[in-house]
Amino acid sequence: MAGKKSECDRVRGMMSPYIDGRLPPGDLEWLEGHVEGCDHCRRELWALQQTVALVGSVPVVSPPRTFTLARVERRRGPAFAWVRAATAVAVFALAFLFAGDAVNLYGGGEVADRGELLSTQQPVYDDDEQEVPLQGDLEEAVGYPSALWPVEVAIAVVAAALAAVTITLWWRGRGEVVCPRAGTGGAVSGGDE
Amino acid sequence: MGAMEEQELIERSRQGDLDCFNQLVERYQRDVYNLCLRMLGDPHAAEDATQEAFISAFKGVGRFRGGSFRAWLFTIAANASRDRLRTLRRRPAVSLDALTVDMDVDCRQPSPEDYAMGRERGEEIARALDALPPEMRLAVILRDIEGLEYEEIARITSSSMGTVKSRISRGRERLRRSLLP
Repeated sequence: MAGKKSECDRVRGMMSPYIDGRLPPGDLEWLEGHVEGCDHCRRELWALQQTVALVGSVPVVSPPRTFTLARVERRRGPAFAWVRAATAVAVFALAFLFAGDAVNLYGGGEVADRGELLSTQQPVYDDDEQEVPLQGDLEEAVGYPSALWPVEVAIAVVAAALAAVTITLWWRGRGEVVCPRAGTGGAVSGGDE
Repeated sequence: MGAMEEQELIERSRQGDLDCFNQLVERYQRDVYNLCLRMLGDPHAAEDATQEAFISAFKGVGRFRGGSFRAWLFTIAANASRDRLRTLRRRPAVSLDALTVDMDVDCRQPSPEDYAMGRERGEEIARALDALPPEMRLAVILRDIEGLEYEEIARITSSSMGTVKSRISRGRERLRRSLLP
């Protein structure tokens, strides 16, 4: 009885490859011989074959749309737009300040004045002491560079940094990308044509 | 270009020709979508996985080394489905709409009774498949629904032949208990 049971267990393990035609000839004959004389295994094999047929008959579902692809320009994130706008603002501010400097908008003399001052207002030297004009006094006298120069330098640094970030983001985001084709809704009617 | 041979389409796709690749998509999208649907049990997730699979396939078509292109697509679709399964916290029951019988396949006009029975049967099989562990489910789907050979399944799942045989055998046994108790 125990031998019969172990034979049935062995047959059960061989049923799946048997259905797929994967049993070696020796095993195949042995299994068929056993099944012929064993009602239980015959029923088991029949049920397994029915299961395989049932699963194989599962209905094919039509895809709800087509999955074809399209090439599109890579979309840059919102960070790129913000950095680009900030760079533009910084560059315009810098240009405005420089232009103001050029037309002496912020007071002080023109660039040429400095040269004239340096050439005409040479210090008078006493015999005892030599007086050297301080650079600050000279600049204050001619009004150059503008009192806004620290602001100009700061904005120039910021503009350069923003420009570097903008160029980096543009470089990384250049090129095309494939994505689902737009307007590809609707069920697919054919598959293998 | 409509009747271009598959090999030529693949070769042109390798060179970046998206129109040729789209012809391959149209040829295999039904198979890939159905594999993803059986794996995931959810039409929306299957749609996403199918799209991801084709995008990955286009990017990686240069790595296709011959053989069955369909089986190669199944490898990618199986990976996309696995990724999607990981992100799905719980899988909803398969909707009736997802199991709409494709009457083109049957090549006959079904009666309302046949249609209802087909739908009910499809739902029952989908539920039984859904109850299997993912790797076992994949092996059974590839063998019993897609009709692939053990060797192809082993390649797709990166498993040994013994593992494939075992998964199919145990999967079928579980399905038998579920479908024909």
